[in-house]
Amino acid sequence: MTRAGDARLRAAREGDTGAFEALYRSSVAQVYGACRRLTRDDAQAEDATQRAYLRAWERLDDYRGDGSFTAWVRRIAVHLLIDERRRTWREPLCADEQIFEAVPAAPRRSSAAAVDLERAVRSLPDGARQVFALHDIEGFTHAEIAELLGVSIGTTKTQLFRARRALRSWLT
Amino acid sequence: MSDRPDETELPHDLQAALQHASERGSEPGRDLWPAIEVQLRPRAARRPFAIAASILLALLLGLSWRLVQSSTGAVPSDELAAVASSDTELFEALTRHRAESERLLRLVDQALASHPQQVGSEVRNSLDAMQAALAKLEQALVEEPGAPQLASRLAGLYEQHLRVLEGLDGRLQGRGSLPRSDP
Repeated sequence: MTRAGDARLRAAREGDTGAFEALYRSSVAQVYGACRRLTRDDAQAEDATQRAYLRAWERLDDYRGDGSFTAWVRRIAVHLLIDERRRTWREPLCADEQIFEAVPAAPRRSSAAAVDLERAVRSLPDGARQVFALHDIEGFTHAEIAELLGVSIGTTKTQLFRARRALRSWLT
Repeated sequence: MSDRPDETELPHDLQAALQHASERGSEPGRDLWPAIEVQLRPRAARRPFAIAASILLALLLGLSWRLVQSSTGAVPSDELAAVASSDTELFEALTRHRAESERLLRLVDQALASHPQQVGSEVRNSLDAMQAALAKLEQALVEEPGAPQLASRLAGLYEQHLRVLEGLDGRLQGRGSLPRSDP
């Protein structure tokens, strides 16, 4: 974290909401982006983002600074979102058989490659998208993902394999 | 299961693009800050109270459910004094508690006047819960004066209650703690 970021963090820990707003402004795009990769529902992504910052405010003293503040809030948001989905979903989050049965038409690559990449990731079926986002973007291990999603490690590996294969075929 | 699935790495340019997209993120469709801001509770003022209150509450509520559920309402002071008179440790703790808790509660109450109403409500609710739990334990002791170790537990809780009140008052006044006057 930068010196200015450190100062904001100290001030926020003292209860300065203005400093916390500055931390929010500098990180919200990444936090919301992470949520949006895990759910296609924008309202749900916004809700998880809001709750993640509220929890971060409550637990600022727990943040040790061994990673970036943004990464810390992102992880909180991801956990909140997955917990929420586990509570509300009745069926397994990513059964092998469901995958790629209804893959949408491949998004085309253009000059705005990053935008297309995001679109391609969001086009993946739920299970594959979640495993891919958690593993390749958020840095969770297969064991962590398996526990989070309530599936086997074999399933998360299969989902990741299929997600990568689809992205390769779409984007290269 | 083999490790084959993990061997399907994305090409480097895709990995780089992914990294870039991840770092750039995407802005929400609306400003989420106002809704977050209105839900932020005061940090500096709230946490010490919550911690102090939760410690004592946990201690009090950690006792057996039978004791906690045994009765409601305050014990007449002469009945409690009669029971406590046969136990030196408890009698001293009770005497000190009666002398100090009232004074400390008054100080806490005065200090809360200069804090936000929400803080005051949180603190008073916690203090009320502590008082209620203490009253129930006192009642249990009156009903079962011979209950093993109950008198010493109650004496210890009186002391802890006073320490929480001292800590609260000290923090509300902006200092570490408040010296306790001898009865």
